[in-house]
Amino acid sequence: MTDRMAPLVKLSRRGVLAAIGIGTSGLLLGGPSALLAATGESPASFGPMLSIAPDGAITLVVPSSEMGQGTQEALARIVAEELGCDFAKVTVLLPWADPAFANPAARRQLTANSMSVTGYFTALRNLGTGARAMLVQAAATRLAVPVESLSVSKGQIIGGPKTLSFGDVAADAAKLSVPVKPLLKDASQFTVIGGKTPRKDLHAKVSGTATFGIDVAEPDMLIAALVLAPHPEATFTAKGLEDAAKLPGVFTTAPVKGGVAILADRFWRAHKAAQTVKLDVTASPIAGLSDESLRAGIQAAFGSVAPTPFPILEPGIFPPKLDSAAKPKVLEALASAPRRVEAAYEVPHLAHATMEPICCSARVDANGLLIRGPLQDPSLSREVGAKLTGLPLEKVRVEVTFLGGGFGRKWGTDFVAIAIQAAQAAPGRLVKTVWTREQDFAMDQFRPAFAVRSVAALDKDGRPTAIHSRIAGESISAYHNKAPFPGFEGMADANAAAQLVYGAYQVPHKLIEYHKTDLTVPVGFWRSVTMSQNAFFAESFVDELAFAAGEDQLAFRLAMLESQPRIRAVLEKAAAMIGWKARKPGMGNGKGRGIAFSYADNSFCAIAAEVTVKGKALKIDRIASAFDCGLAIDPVSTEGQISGGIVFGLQAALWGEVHFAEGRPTAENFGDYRMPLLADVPPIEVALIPGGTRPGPVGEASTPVIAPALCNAIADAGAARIRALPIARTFEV
Amino acid sequence: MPVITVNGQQRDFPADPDTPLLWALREELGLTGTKFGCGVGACGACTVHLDGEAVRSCQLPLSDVGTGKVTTIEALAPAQAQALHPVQQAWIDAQVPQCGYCQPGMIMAVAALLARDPDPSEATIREQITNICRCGTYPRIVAAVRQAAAKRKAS
Repeated sequence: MTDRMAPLVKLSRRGVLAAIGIGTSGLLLGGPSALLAATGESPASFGPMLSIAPDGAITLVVPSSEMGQGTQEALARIVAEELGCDFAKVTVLLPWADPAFANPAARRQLTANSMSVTGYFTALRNLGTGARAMLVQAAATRLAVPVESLSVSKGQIIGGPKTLSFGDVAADAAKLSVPVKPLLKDASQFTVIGGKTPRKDLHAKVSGTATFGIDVAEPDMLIAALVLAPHPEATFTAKGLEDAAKLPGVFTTAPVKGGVAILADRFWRAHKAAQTVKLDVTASPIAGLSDESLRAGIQAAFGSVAPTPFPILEPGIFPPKLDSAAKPKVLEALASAPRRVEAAYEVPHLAHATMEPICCSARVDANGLLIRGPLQDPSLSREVGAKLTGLPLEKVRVEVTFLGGGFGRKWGTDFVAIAIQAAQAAPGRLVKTVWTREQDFAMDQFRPAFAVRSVAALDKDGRPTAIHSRIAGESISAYHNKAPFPGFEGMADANAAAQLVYGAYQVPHKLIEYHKTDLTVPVGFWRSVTMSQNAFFAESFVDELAFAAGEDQLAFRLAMLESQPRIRAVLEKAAAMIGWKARKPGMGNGKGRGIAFSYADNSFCAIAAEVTVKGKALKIDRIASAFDCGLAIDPVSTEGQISGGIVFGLQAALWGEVHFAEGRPTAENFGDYRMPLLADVPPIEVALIPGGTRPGPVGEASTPVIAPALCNAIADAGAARIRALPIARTFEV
Repeated sequence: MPVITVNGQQRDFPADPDTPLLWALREELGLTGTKFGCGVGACGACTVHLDGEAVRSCQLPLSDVGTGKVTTIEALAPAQAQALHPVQQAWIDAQVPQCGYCQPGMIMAVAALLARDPDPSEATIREQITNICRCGTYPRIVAAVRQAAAKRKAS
């Protein structure tokens, strides 16, 4: 079902394209024609995304899902900038599944991997500039003046004998042929891009009128509550279904993947009926699983599972390469080094815990299948719907609502399938399946737990000459039955450990290996995916090397980053913000400061933290972050993504840990999975560093960096190095 | 059948009396701005006002609402005014929401706080507002509450 999930590898975007076996999309390079192709729907329709009404009102269907990251706004700004319209007159609509809306960088319509703005950037600029050219041409014809004599300002076409608005000529313009050569604005002329006006979705979001997946409603609809087994593949007997079906308001019961659904006229009635049903589990892939057995399984893999090497996974390096000479060189460097440093780290499973619990609506009727919900992957949801119902794709309509948080969880389609199965039990009626918070925790697709063993060689001056890191843990790709990406055969699952040792560091010999661990715990993509663990592993270990060398942690890093001016810049900025003064590490005497960074293609994030440690008590005094994503389309949202991403990562660093006992996760609600509240969040300062005319990924950038920054600060304060997250295992926080 | 005053109007609720106010508001009256987050009163996404006090409506069965007056996010701003409530406006000005799911509850909690303490200190804000925001908008929430308080003072 999920085997067509696109891979999530932190490669260059070009690399991702090739990794999933497609070429560069025509949308990206072929000018605006693909998006502007006449649809015949309306005379003022400029392709499936853009229409202009006679009064100048502009409607833009933005193809990405909005889960808080702000890409609805960012993508709309990109079109509006090139179109030259009055951005205040643009209404933004949420999308439906449509091949025309595919992200050119993935050739699928999905919102994940921080690739919406980067993937759609060129295509949407082409759409805007192409439509502008058509409008100007129509005005020139109307006014009988040369096109060159006209220009565009805020939706007005000026320079002719009279000023025409976009609305005046939209109908004529939409009939014209699409210009072949788009004339893009120079970035220095941007005003909508880079502007600081509030996002268009904020009014609805503060008024309570924004429609999230859980708000989908229509007369005569049904609500499905679930009874779920401890694992999607568990087998069970359901007890009490017949009695539940007789309870007030209950319409019917239905088997769904991994459980049963109770359909009723109201949530509360469905929920109460569901609580009367018991599942006797006969077999479960995680029967008997506990924290202890999980940890033992991961640690055992270091000895029992032969390691597979990772390719060099650095932004910009594609196709991935295996350096077969790396291993002997690394081993030799380690063997002959005057000094070796070893350390082992581990991180637990993490939950997504989106504020909107998992939910999805569906209706099966004579027209086909309708799916309406908070979906990160409309393309895959549509395919899942077609497969489950046997309908052709064109009979499956998928409509995307606002997402009350996604963070990767709503990229899964397990809940979409369940919603469709529930709807199949009530043909003709819309059925909204609503998971409880308890089910949202219990049946999450967790960020997998991982353990790492790293060893480095230092030369006589304390410079690292080789780093060898081995990681063990469950493969997300394996859980979702995915074949290796083309070009990755014989290499370790890139979803487990891209950049476990940063390629940006100029260390002569590096090797990363994977001991694939079969655990069958449901796992999936969690904001920043591999970096969510690997930034902690990589940047903690480098910090330990600085300690071993007795060198200032910032200076130690900078010395290995001579060829990385943008990484140096964010590190130096974050350090300045926290008031960094060079000295020997670990000498903080209760007051420590730590620094760390991570990076992707055209995105660089550094975080510095200051902490006070007194015995078991830890206080985070301040957090400062410097971020360079090239061109920030919506800088205020970008800054919010960095500070919000830090809070998201702070939760994981301090408290995030899913426990397992007796074959199931034990977290039931927020009381068992602590979230930061206002009182817990220290001052966070963010600085954006402009880095050019091309946007970079934003949404996942800061989340993985806060854990190593904090743990490095704790060590700098003179406390013992944290090698296992969450920090609450060691400190009272 | 419980009769409850919601947003200034007396409303009949055909729902079962043990139904939490949250679900009755959402499903009987279509007031979906009040959100389901946890069902145990932990997250605050379902916060409404009961006689002006912030309450977590997932924990309040219809049968217990009584004669109290319920206000939801949809009626926080006076109906006749086009303007938003000062807290809602501050939320836009400070560009607080990300996914936005928790924000109606957050705004209701803040509006109730400002009604009883028009000029809360930062420490009070941090202590009194205990709603969960998974997107981590907290830094801007503090700024927005201070803005809203300042505006109330000025007007």
